[in-house]
Amino acid sequence: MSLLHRIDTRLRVALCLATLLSAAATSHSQDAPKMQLPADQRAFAAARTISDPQQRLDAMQHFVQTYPKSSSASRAQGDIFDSLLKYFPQRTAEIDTQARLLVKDAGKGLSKLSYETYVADSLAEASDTGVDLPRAEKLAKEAVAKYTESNFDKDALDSAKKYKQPAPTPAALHSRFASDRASALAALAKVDMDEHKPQPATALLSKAYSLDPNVDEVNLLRGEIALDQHKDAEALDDLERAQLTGELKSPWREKMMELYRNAHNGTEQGFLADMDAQYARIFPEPFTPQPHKPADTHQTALLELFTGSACGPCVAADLAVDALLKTYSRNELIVLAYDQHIPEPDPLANPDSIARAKFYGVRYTPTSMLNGKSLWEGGGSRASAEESYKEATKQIDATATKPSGVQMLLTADRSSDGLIHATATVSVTNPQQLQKALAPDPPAKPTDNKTPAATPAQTAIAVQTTPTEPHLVTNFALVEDDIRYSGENGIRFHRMVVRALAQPASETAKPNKTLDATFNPATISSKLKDYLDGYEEKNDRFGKVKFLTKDTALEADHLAVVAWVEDTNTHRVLQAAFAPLAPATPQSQTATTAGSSR
Amino acid sequence: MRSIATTCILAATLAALVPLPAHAAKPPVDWQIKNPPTKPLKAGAKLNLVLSGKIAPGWHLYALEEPTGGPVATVIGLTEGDPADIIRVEESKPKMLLDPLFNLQTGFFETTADFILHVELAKDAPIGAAALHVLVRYQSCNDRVCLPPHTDTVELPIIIAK
Repeated sequence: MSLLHRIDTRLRVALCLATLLSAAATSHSQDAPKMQLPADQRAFAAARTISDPQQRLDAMQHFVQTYPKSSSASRAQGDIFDSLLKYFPQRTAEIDTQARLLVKDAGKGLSKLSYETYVADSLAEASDTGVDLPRAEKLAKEAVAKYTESNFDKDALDSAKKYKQPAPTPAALHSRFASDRASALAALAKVDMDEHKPQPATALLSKAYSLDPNVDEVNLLRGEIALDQHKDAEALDDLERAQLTGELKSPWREKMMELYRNAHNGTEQGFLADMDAQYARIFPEPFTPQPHKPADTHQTALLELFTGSACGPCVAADLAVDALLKTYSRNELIVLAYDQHIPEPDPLANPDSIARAKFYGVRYTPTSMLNGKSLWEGGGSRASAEESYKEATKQIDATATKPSGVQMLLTADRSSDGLIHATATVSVTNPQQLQKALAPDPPAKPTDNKTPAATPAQTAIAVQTTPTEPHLVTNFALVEDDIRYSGENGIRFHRMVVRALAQPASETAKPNKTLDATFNPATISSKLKDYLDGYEEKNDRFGKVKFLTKDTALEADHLAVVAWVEDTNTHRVLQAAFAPLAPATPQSQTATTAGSSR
Repeated sequence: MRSIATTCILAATLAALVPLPAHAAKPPVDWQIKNPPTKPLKAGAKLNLVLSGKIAPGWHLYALEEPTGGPVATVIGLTEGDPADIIRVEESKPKMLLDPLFNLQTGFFETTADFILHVELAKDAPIGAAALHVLVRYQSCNDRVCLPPHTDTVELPIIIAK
């Protein structure tokens, strides 16, 4: 059979397979039927849309009278309390009644202490100088007195035992206790500040800060006191910390910017960079990446991470990737991050990242593929990042020493009109090595008990049971590194995010085959914006949504092109290359890199 | 030369070897109505239905209310156009524990979860065979992975009598 005929047959098989899979996908991806919420939820939602304070208060009070057993009744009571404090601080009798009701309904133990702290803090914060301060002081003092570490540990461990759950680690227990007690101390400090007693307030805030320096309320109050004492540098530091550990609201945000300008010759130019540095100090890397001896690399490894900025367990994978990018050069390891709308809408997702997930049959986040094969089984919290990192280094080191028989040279340049042109020269230099690289894996060993029972049974990868003829294609990706976006899972910097993919070009299994791709950043940016705007209005998962932010401008200095060769039958990635794009200038820029294969 | 039809049969065989895509995965919660009505119901009648979820080992189903910054709460409703309305939903008592992912106390269910749906049939519901379609939207995350938000439908045939 001639090479051309083999390619033609493989192409048709691939097309039919793709058709069958896409037909299956279509039959399952219809919009969910429209839900009619229960009557109580509709009434609660309607009350929440009212902007007139008195009408909203009336609607919420009517709601709790009509639906006293609704699951949203306690939220409605909280809304009534907040509305009274914000818009009617003079109605002190009603406020006091509502405050007592909230604490009474809070239950016992830690839940009650949390509510006491919340109510005390709300009373002390209200109307600038506080409302019903005696009640606030009483509640805050009670919370501070009872919020001891032994009480906290006992309550949490008893609950774990009662529900037959693993006991939280001592570190996790202490972290939560420190944060909660710091909040209680801050509530009492705020009462002292309202009563013009700065010295005891300062002492309480020092205790709170030493317990947990990352409680936004503590940082804000420290900033307020520093401002009163004309210690502007301290105040700026405290307000920046408050911004990074929570969200600084008006007028404090404006005050922070004023302090910043005063300290930097009237300019805000370096603010974001300074905040990045502050973020790095507040949230240091959870572990130190291992030093790595440069290996005699035969193949540049490609790690594809399917992640989500609202996905809690993705934190471990995201942080492990950060460390891997420090450990390995781009000649050894390339990372592509494809954001998904899992479990919540993600403004870094795009049609291409979702299409790539479909190609692999990704069912959950995080999912990670190393050269087209499953890498990690899920993720975990910050504390699990080092474990994920170590597992990845083992597999990357093993991959690097295996030649794939495929070589690639990638060049990328940016022309004066802003277009990015990439050219990959691909050749199969050793067909025997290529066949070996595509050979089926030996049967998998039984998984250890670290694999979560809950992880879906398959890893969603095409399992090849017999060797097949290769069907190689070359893909191109435009990636943006280090996107600054603070999503729901707290990750601020997002590495190597795929912004667009170029259509695969087939028939690369010829000596020195040259393939081209062109990216237009302006068009991509515009299409990303249209996509996010459209997704907010209509999508098949969430109904109407609102992204936290929709910054789709591509930072020219953070862009790079990645190209890789994969076999569409096995999904194996056989070679990859990375070409960073130099800062945009009127002149053409060229970057060249070779996927290392011998 | 092999025909295109033969090639497609080969592709179909290969497709059978490929694990199912994400949207075909079995969801981690199996739902059923524990107490389906056994007799015809009158238009305007009130009834309590027990929606029961059997949760796969290792998974959490989150409660109807969750703290700010915590997981997405479970939402239950009927399909628009159904001849009935849910007045409110009552949940069995969730487990309240410090969640290591959110570093917050969250409410969740394991193994099973029961929700009582307080339902009122429409006063103008047409006489005859009908169906209610209970929708359950929930976030499914465990300590290792998150699945896409999921809406399950539980169909309940009913007969509306005079």
